[in-house]
Amino acid sequence: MINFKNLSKQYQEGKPFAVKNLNLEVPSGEIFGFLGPNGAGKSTTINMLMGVLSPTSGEIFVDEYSVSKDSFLTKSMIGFVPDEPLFYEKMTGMQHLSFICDVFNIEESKRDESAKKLVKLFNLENAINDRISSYSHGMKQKLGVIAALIHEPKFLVLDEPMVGLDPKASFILKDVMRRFCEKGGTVFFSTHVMEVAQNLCDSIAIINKGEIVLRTSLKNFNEKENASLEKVFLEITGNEDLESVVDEALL
Amino acid sequence: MRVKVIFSLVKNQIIAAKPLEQMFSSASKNGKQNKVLPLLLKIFGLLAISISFIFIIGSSYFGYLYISKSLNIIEKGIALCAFSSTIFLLFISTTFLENVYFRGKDVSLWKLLPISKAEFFLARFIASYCYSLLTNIIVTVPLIVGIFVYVGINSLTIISSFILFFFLPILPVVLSSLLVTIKVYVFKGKSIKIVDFLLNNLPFILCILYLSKSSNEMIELVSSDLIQSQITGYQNYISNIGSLPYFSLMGSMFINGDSLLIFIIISLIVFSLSSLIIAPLYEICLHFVNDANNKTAIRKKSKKVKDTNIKKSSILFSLIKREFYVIIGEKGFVSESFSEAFVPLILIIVWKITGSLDSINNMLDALASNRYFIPGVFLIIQLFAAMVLISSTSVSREGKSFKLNKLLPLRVNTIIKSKVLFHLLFVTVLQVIYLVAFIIFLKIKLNLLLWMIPLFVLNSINISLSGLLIDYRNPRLEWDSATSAMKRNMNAFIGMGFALLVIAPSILILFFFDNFILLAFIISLIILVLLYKSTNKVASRILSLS
Repeated sequence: MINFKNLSKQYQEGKPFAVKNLNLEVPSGEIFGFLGPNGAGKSTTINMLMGVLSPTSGEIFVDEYSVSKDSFLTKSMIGFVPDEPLFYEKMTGMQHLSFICDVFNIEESKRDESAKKLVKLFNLENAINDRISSYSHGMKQKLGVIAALIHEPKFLVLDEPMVGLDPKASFILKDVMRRFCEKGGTVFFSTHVMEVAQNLCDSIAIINKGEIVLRTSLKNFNEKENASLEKVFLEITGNEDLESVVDEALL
Repeated sequence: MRVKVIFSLVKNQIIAAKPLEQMFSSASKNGKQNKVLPLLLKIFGLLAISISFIFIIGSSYFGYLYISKSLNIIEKGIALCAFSSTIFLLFISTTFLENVYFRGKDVSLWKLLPISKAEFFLARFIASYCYSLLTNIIVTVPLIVGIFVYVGINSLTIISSFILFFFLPILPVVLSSLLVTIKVYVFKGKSIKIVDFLLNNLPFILCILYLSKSSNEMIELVSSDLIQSQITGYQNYISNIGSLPYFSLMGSMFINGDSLLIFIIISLIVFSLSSLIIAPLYEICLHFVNDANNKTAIRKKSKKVKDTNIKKSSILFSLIKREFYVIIGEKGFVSESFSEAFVPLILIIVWKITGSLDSINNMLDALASNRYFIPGVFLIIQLFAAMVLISSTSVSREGKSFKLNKLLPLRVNTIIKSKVLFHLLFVTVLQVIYLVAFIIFLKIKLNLLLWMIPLFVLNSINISLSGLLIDYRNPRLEWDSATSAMKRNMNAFIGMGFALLVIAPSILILFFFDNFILLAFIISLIILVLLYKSTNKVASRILSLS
C-alpha cells in the first residue's frame, strides 16, 4: 500500500503550492492511474514518492515505511520508470541491467534468467549488447521498464510510461502491469492518455493545481458516469468548452 | 551580412552561457534562494582564487620587468610578459573553442533558423574574443601594473595599456580558432582522442620548447659565480623571447607612439585576415562534423560488446565501474582528465629533449645534500596530485544521470567510497609514473622516496575527499560540453586550492621538522577523518532529499 498523508510541496515561500494537502491511499494489488493536466503536480508527487524531493509538510508511506525516514528501504521495494530515461550512455543495455542488479543485490542465477526473459519480451535482444547511446527513445524506454522490473519490486511507479513506445511494446507493458498486479504487486502510474487510464486502471485520481479533485474506482466511474473519462477530465480541470476556445483562437 | 543578427547572436551566446552566473550557480536546497552569506562566501572564494592567480603571474612578471629594467631592455621584458600572457590565453582557448564553433548543442538549434553560416561564424568569433577578454583580466592586469611601476604613468603608457588589454586576446583567439578549424578540416570532423590531447597541449608544449631553448643557456650562465655571466644569461634569455616581432611591438609601444599605431594596424589586419581565411572553411567543416557524427552513430549501432551475461559484483565495484563509464561518456572528459594530469610529465620529457634537464640535474646534484631536498620532491609530487580534477568534478560530471543516485537504493558512504577508490586508482598510477620519472630522469635514489608512499596514499584520499566535499556542496550538473563540466567548472579551481590546504600541514611538518614523518602521518589521518565526516554530511544532504 502507498499512503500519502497531508502531503504538501511549496518550492518557494510565497509562491503557490505545487501539491497541497494531498491525501491518497493506493491499496496493494491495484493499478492506479494518476491523471492531471501539465503542471498539476503529478511529477512533483512522484518525485516525492521516489525520495528525490522532500515534502514541505506531510508524509508518504510505502507499506509501513516512511519515505523520508527509511528511503533506502522504500527505494528497494520500488521499480521506477522516469518520464525521461536516465542512463549512463556508454554502458551497454546489458551492463546497465547488471549495474541495477548489483545495486539491488540480485542473485546471479536469478538475474540472468529474469534479464533474458524480459529482454526477449520487450524485443531488445538484438540491441541489448549495444551501447545505450545508440538507442532510440523508445528503446531506452523499454530498457527503463526492464530495469524497473528486473529486481522484482513490490511496487511499480511509472511516470508517463507509454511515451515513445511502439504499439506492440505499449501493449506488452499494459499486459505486464496487469500481471504484475495479479501477483500482488501495486502499480502507480501517471499518464495523459485517458483511454489507457480508462481501460487499464482499477482506480484513478485526478490532480489539478496541486489538489486531488477526483478519486474513484474505474468500476464505480463506469457505472455512475455515462461519459468518457476524457470528457470528465476536461470538465473537472476547467477546459469543458475547448471547441469554442479553439474557434476563437483560429478566427 | 546582418550586423544586428550577429550582435543578437553574440548577446544570446553570452547570456545563454552565463559565464559569471555559472561561476556563482548553486543547486538550491529545499527550494530556498541563496541568501547574502553564501553569495559573499562565493565572491570571497572567487576573489581569493583570482588574487592568487594574479599574485603568481604578477610576481613572475614583476621579476622579469625588474631585471629587464636593470639591464636597460625594459621593452624586451614587456614583450616577454606579453608572450607568456598570449600563450596562456591560447592554451585556455584551444580547449573549448571546438565546442563553441562546431559541437555545442546550440549549433543544432541555429541550423534550423534562417541565419547564414558567415553570420553565425562571426558571432562565435566575437563571443570567443569576449570570453578571452574575461580571462585576460588575470594575465594582463599584473603586466599593466608592472609597466606603470617600471616605465611610469604617462599618456602613452595609459593609452598603450588600454590597447594592450583589448588587443592582446586577438592573437590567441585567432590562432586557436585557426587550429581547431584546421583540425576539423584535416580530420574531416572526426574526434580523435590523441589529436585532441595534442591540440589542447600544443601551445603549451611549443612554448616550453621555445622557453627551454633559452632557459637552458640561462641556467648554465646564472649557475656560474661570475656576475657578468649571470647578467649575460638573463639578458640573452629576455632578449631571445622579447625579439619576436609581434611581441617586440607590444613592448616598444609603451615607449614609442609609432609602434603603438603599427601594433593596432597589424592586430586589425590579423583579425580581418583570419576571419577571411576561416569563414569559408567553416561551412565545409560543419558538414564534416555532421557527417562524422552520423557515421559514428551508424558505427556504434553495428558495434557489439561481447558481454551477454550479467555477472554479480559488489555494489562498491559496480559504482567504481560506473565512474569509469561516466568518464568515457563524454569524449572531452578523457582528454580533460588526462591532459591536466600529464602536463608535468610532458614538461619533464620536453626538458629531457631540449637538454634543460641536464642543467636541472646539475643543480639538483648540488642540492641533494640539502635537508629540504627530499621534502621538496615530496612537495612536487603532491602538487601534481592536487592538480588532478577527478574528484573535484566527479559529481558535476554525472550531469543529468546524477538523479540516478537519488532514485536507487544506494548508501551515501558507498558512493563516496567508490569515488575515492576511483580517484586512488587513477592517482596511484600517476604517482608511480612520476616516481619512476624522478628516479630515471632526475636520478633520485628509490630508497629516499619509498617512505613517501603511505603518506602519498593518505594525502591522495584527502585530496579526493576535499574535491568531493566542494563538488557535493555545489555541483554543476547542467553543462553543454566536457570543458564546462571540468576545466571551466569553478569547483575544479576551488577543489585544487582546498586540496593544497589539506595537504599543507603534512608538507610543512616535513619541511620544518626533521624525522617527524609519523607526526605528518597522524595529522593527515586526523584530516582524513574530519574530511570524511564533512563530505558524508554534505553528500547526505544533497543525495537524500532536496
